[in-house]
Amino acid sequence: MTTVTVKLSRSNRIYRSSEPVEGKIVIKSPNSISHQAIRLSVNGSVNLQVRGGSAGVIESFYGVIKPIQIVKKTIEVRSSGRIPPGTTEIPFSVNLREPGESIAEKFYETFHGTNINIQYLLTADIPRGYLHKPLSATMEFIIESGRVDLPESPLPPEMVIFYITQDTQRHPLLPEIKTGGFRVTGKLATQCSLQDPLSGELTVEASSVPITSIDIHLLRVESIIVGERIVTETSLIQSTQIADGDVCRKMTLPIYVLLPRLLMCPSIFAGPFSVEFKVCITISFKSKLAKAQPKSDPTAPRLWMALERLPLELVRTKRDQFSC
Amino acid sequence: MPFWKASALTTRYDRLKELMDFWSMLLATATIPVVKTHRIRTVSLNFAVGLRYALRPIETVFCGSPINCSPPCSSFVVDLRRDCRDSLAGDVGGKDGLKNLHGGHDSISHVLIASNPYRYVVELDLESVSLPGIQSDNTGYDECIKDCDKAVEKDRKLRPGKEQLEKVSTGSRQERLVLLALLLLCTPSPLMCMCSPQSCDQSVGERGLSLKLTVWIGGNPVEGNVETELESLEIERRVCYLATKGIKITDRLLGEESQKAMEFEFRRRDYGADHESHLLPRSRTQKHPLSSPIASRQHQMKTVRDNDPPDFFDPLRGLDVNASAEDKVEEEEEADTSLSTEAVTQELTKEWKSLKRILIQRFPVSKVISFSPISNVITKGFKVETPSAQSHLEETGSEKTSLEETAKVMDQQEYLAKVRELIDGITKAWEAEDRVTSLKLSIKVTKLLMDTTVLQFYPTVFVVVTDMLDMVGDMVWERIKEKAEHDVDGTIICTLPNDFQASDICLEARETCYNWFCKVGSVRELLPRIYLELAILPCWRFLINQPREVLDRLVMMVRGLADPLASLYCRLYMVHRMQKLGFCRSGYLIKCVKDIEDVLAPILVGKDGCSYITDEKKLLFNLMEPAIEYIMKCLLLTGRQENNVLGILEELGFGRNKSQPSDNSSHVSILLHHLLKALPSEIVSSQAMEILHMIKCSNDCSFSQVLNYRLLGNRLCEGRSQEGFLSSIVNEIMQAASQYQTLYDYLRIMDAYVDLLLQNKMENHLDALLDDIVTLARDKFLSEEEQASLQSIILKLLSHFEDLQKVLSLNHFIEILDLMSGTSKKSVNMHLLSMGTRNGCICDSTTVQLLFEVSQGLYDATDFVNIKDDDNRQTSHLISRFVEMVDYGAERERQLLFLAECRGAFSGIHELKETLVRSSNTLAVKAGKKHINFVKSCLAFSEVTIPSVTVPTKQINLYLETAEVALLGGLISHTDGLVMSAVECLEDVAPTDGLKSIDADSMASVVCNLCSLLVMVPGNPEKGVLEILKSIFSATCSSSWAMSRLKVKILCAIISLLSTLAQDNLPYRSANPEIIGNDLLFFGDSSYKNELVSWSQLVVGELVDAIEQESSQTARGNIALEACNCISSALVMNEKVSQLCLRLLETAKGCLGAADRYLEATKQSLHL
Repeated sequence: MTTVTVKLSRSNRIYRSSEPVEGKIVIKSPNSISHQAIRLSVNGSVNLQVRGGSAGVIESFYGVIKPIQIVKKTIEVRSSGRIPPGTTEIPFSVNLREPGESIAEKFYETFHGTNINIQYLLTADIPRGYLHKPLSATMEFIIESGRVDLPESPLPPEMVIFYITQDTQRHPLLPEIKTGGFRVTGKLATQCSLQDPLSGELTVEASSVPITSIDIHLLRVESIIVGERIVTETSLIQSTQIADGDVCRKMTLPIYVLLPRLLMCPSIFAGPFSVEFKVCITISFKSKLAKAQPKSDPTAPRLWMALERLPLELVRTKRDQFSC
Repeated sequence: MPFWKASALTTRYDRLKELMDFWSMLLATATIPVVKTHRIRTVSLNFAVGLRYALRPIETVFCGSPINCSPPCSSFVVDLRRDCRDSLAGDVGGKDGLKNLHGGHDSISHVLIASNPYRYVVELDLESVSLPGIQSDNTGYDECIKDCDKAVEKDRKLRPGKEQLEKVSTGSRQERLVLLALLLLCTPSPLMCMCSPQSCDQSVGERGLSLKLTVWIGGNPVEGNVETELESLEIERRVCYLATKGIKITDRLLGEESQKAMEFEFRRRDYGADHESHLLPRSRTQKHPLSSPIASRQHQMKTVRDNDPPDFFDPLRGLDVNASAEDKVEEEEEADTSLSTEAVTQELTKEWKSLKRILIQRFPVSKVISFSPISNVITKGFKVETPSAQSHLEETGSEKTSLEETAKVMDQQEYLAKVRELIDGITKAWEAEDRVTSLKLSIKVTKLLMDTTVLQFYPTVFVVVTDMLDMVGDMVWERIKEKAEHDVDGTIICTLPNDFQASDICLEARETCYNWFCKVGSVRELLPRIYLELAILPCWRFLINQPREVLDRLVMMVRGLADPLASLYCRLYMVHRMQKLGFCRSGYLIKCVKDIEDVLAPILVGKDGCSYITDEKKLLFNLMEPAIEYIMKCLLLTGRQENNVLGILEELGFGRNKSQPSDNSSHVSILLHHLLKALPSEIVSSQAMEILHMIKCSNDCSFSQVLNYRLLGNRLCEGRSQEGFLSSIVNEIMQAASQYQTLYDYLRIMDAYVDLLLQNKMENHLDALLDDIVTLARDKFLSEEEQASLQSIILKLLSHFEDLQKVLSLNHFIEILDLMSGTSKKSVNMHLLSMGTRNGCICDSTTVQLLFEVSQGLYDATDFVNIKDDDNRQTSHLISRFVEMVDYGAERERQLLFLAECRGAFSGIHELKETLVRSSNTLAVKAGKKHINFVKSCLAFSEVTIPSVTVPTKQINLYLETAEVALLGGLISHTDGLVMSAVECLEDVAPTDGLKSIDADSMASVVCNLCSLLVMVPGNPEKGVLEILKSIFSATCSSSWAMSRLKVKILCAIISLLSTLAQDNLPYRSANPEIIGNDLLFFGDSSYKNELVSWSQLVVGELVDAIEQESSQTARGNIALEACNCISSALVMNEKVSQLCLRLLETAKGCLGAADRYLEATKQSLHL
């Protein structure tokens, strides 16, 4: 059985748009294979899709919207000939962007969302004439913004101070919470480098009703222009509990959330689509109702919960990830 | 029966009869005409003769205090006197026993019992005695004298060194008389035998001859004399006749003995020569082999201390080590760390291990536990899902448990087994390179710690889970290290040093590492997220060099855990992992401690603002204690390592009070307690006032203030306290303690300070303390706890003072003693007793009285009859020891009285009876012969006491001991009685206690012991000389307890005894010279020897039978050889004996085989 794999030079498969994507095509074959040429193609695109969520019935009917091409090129790594039996490694190097070459779209960073997918694929094709099935292998690689286009590091710390009290809530609260009152304050960096954790702090200053949990939810907001309308989909990426139970009052709790890779990318505001992020702080109070409530969206407003949503701008900074 | 021989044996009633028979025979056959003019006035032979049966009624006539004898002993006087007939009659009457003496012998009414009952006088009217053959011619006389000469000559040859006797040799009448007297002395009667003339002072006058002789009896020189007062040659002849006749008769008897062809004949032994030949060479040595020079030991100590091995933590030297460490700090200030980091780490690793053990042991869990849905990981079981198929949300473990699930009831062991199963799953997945599964399972297991519904179970779960986390942490560390050191292909890039920098790590490894943190960081729940990050905390070193921020954040993150128990244990684990990271700074720990304080504060106050303790809270604090203790220890160790203990104290709020005395900043008592516990003792001493103040301020339900006061006291005792402010501290403490009003609290607090008071000689305070106790306890019944505290105080006092007198002289001490009751009283009493008996004899009568009362109290509090345990044994041992140690010195009677009192008072203690008997025996020996009546009363006491000893072997041993004492005192009748009692006891043992666990072996040795004693005890002809032997023999043969092996042992001993008794010289004799052994008593008595021989035949027969009965082959062989050896050493090897020996050897050969070495050796020694 002949197998073909594409192996990238970097184990994390992360490349900048300015860098050549390097690696090798590994062919393992028990017998010699003749081929017409070995070609490698790079394909980068933004796939947009509207499904469920806040999209209307009509929009969902549209189905897939035409993807946006970022890059598509094919190179021949080996002209036609024979591959000897055994393992053959064919190294390659592809420049995504030739100097001076203008491309239609920006190299967005790789992102896998609900409705928006930004993906870069590397495909090796080995056509073998009519009689044989062509061999092929695909490998995804990840694009991070090149250094050149990045803002200077470090980011100016942009901390937002927030207050959460019974009066800041726009949804109805349980009467005992409303009357008893509570006050939670804190601060959070709303502009955040992707390499850094989301950080901030939070203090429960007062609460008459015992708290059961305080959570930090990361939300992503994907918007797509479909025809005349903008379809926006908000989805939960990750929840992180920072307080379990009725914590001590006036004690500062740290907010520290490591941003998950691949699921997050720098905030994008492109023409046909945008990817934004939000932080939602939820404070759950002790209530019998909460127990009766079945599993559901943790960021939805409830009678026994206080919420605070803060925008989060994610950027890629120049700084090395693990600077010492 | 020869006269002289007979006279020597007159101490025996039956011998006396024989003597009488002889005289009557003599009188009846008298053919010599009565010579009226010449007569022997007196021949009195005063010799020291050990009279037996001193106290038996019939013999009272023989014995008693000496009258006319120079050695202080009973005497037997033979008065040959004329015209005494008249004086006979009156005194004889009334003595019943004497009727037997001369019953039927009218002609010998010459027996006079003098008015003094202690003097036995035999009087003969020689005028009525006529001697045949002497009257007519002188030839008979000359022959007689010739015989005398021969005898003397013979004697001289046999007994060299008696040259002075030769001087009196030639033919004058007087000289011949001297010879005659000497001849009398030299006749081979036992009496004469023991008298070897030493000096001879002769005075031959006109009418008489008197010889003063010094003789040896039993090794001691004794003065004796022979006096004859002669009136004529005729009488001289008669005496001479008597003498020669005596010789002749003896000779004839001896001849008869030799003619009797004995089947058995005893070997003659020379014990002195044997002893000499077998004695090992001895030499004096300068020092005791076990003593070691003190100097070298000290040196050794020094070297040990110098090395200060960090891995060896001697609890006894622990403080010392700390102290020396502290000293070093003072000495060299530039040395920044007195405790090396490794030492601290090692110690804390050890601490952690012991902590885990404590947690599991201290909180054993009730069997059934109901679990809330959180632990449904366990109840649901688990399956390993493929990671790729899951959405990110599920992957991060933020699954919600459905609330409908009911709590399940589960056994604790089952629960733990499931957890272990999960943990196994983790390792398996890891080994299979499936690290995602591994991590997911770890998260699941860690989530168990979120459940604090069953409080008691939490520590156990904690230990199990943290073990797992440690393991996972290590695995991750190893993996990343591997990545850092090796290429993808497995080739080594570099080897990381121990103190590597983050920059040494290749990008790949760092990325993997960061990935782990991301994975862990994506866990939704706070608690497992913290725990897992802590597990892989050391890995931060791959990423950054100074993980300060990380630790800061983690310390703060734990605050998010609201549950006090969960958060505390989480902090505990954090502290542990910080150690592992090697970045444990006191700053973080102080933050931790402060946070703990904040968490605890609301619990202490309670919802309604008042602080009261509920069971739940109590349990909670109980569960928290080990964790707090560990954290505090860690804090202080780190502080010492950083050389900043005082800084830590300041951070924690010490000294705050100094600047603002109004500020009543209280601390949580439980924290304060463990802080105080962990503080170095120097700091405790120097900051004592501060600490005291803090304790005063903090009084909450988490820990008893009283115990904190106590702890301060205990810690102060450890350190070198400065005396200056010590008294003010103690003053404050006493003030604080007395504010409690209850005696219990007061006692508990002051208990800790007693040592301090004693060490620093603060007598005033001590007096005040005792005063307070008496005041508080007056007219109260003390509860058990109060008793216990009081007991502890008293014990401290007792152990501090060397001398009991000093303790007793303390104010109110006796009064306080009287307050005690029950078990504490018992314990105090025990200590009092052991203290009293520690320093040798107790002579002071008040002390004796006190200790007697104490013992009585102890005795009354203990049930000796029904319960037999170690405690009782100790009590009885103490009381016995006390009785043993009491010494009234010269007041012997009083001491004996005391012993009797003790016997009455402590009748239930078996051990004591032995002590009593031994004490009374000791008294008797100490009193000596001068106080013979006292000795008798001691013996009587012993004799009465011994039967109540229950253990037969002990009883017999005591009998034997007492018998020896009696023998030493010269009280032969007592000795006989005691030995007989021992034998009776032996006879009783066999049937009744046969199956009881009497130690048959020890029994056998007791019997052997008895046999050796019998060598010294003169035989009792009244009952038969071998009466005791016979009893032993029959008891042995019929006994059920004696196995064949032991029987053989005993029978061999009997044979040896028989052989010994047959010797002319016994190997040893009683230390009392008045006691003559059987060798003298039965010297030349053929019937005695015959009896010995016949008995030995009997015993040998039984011995052979016993050997046949032994079932075990080897044992039979061995005992046969033993018996063979015994027989060959006891008996002369004639035909019969050698046949017997050959038979025994044959048996042994059959059992052991011919090659046996014992058999070979035996054969060789027998020359067979």
